[in-house]
Amino acid sequence: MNEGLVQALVNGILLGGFYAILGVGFSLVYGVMGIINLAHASMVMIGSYLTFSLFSGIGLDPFLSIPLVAAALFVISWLVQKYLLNSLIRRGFMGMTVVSTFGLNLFLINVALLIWSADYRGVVSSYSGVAFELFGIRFPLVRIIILALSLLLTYVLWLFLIRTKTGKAIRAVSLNREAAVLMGIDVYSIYNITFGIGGALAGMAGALLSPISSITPFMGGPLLGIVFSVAVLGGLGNVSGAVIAGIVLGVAQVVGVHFIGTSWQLAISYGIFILVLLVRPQGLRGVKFVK
Amino acid sequence: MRDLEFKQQEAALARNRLLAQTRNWPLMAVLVAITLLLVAAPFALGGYWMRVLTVVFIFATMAEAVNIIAGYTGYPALGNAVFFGTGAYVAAIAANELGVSLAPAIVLAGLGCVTYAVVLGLPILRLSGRYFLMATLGLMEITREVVLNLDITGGAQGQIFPSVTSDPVLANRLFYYLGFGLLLLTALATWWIQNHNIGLALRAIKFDEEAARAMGINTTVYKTAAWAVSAFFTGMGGPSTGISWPTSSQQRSTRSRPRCGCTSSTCSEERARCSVHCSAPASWSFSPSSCGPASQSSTILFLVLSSC
Repeated sequence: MNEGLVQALVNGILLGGFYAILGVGFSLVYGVMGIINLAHASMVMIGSYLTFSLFSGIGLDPFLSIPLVAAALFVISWLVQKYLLNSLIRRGFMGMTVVSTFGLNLFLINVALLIWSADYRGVVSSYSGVAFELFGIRFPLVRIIILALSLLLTYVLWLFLIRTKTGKAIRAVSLNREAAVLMGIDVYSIYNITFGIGGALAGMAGALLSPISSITPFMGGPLLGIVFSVAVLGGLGNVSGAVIAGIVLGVAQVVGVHFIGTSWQLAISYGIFILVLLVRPQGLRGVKFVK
Repeated sequence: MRDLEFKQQEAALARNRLLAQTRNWPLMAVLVAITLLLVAAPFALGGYWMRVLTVVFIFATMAEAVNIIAGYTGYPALGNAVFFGTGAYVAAIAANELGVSLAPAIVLAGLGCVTYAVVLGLPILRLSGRYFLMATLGLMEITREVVLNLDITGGAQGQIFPSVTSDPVLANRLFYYLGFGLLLLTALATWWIQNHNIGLALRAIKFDEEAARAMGINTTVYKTAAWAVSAFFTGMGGPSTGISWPTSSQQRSTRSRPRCGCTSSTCSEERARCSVHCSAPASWSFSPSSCGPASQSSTILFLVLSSC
């Protein structure tokens, strides 16, 4: 078998794990509230910038900054939901939530431009060049850590949704809002928490992305395509589906790039996205939400 | 027979509605006055305000166009700016490769976008609501990527439209009237759609697509037609934006395009693109970013303002 292709497959799987955590926050927010968060990728961007600032300011390792970044974005998202989106939902302007997240997207991009300027930034730690070699195939250390942490954090999210009371409440609201209200669940505070978790996941993804990508205020645009693809491929609101979808997408993208060329990477992910929408809109797993 | 009777009644009703609107003479007088003022404005205003108005006209045109598919038909086409860029490219390529002059190039741009909308609309308009929204955004990104990678579009360098006139005052006026004419045309088309059966059908699709189909409305045809009309006007807006910015392209590219203002050495590609913008007096240049967030955001703004 072609060695380049095997390397591409390995790269795809390493990338796919990261795609899972990239898409799962968006997927969760859509699954619970039906809000399309167009600012999700920009939240990832803000997460990357925070990691960069922590790294260049106090020399904090990008992976150790994950809890801080996640907390910061949880608070930001929580506030956005509480004071912006909830007031729209309360007044019945569900369709306007998409427009306001679109505005939030532009706002975040311009805030990043103001604070960090348009220069390309990067997080280069001491071990970023380290790689293992096995049967002639390279396994970069940073990417292995990213894969492991992505899967771990997604698993923690899944446990949270399955085991904890808040997680159960979130699932209940997503299954049937009226029934959840009758059971004494405060739907709007659940919305706040869900959007906060979505933002925190975006922040984590941003922190994980920072060592392997250059950071610019406009990095969100291409990421949003991957977010859409993962969320739709995995089934909107489906956590375990997002993991499978992320890996499928990662492999498809890297193998596609291997055969067609790097410059078509985005077209591949968006192409998969539209194809899935047309052929199988309920996603790979074909269930509505985590059981 | 009853069908015919019903149609006649409908037509009579529509006529009455039209008459009622024309009889509202204070409103009509104000509209006519504003129109005359705007027609006369170029002779009183300076270059700056004329350009501002030109951009207002084009954005309003795009908003009217989005309104047809998103407002009347209820399909949130958030990525409609794709037709803005596609139209600009079609016109520029037609002018550069085939030597087509300004007016036919603009019409060609509109027709090219209609084709694009019909070909893509037939599969994509099968999706409902939010999925359609995401698909249109995806479509925009794919188009950008394809434009970046094709040879005929000039890749990241973009296209430069051959200069129409070397006189900046004349160019300003030309683009002003072009934008104004386009806005009037779009407004008239929207008004016509609103007052005829097609508008009724589109609104029926918005309220309940299943029921509309049950009433004998061919929803596929109407939805695709709505998107095609929307694409037609957005597409004509692309080349007539006068994005020439004949005299102040330098200012513009640094002021309102943050991407172009970057100074870091890493974004040499961006700067190469900007230099094309800046060093092209009295000509239009289009780069892949002309289908980007800037034009899109204004569409959204007007979508919010004018959604019905």
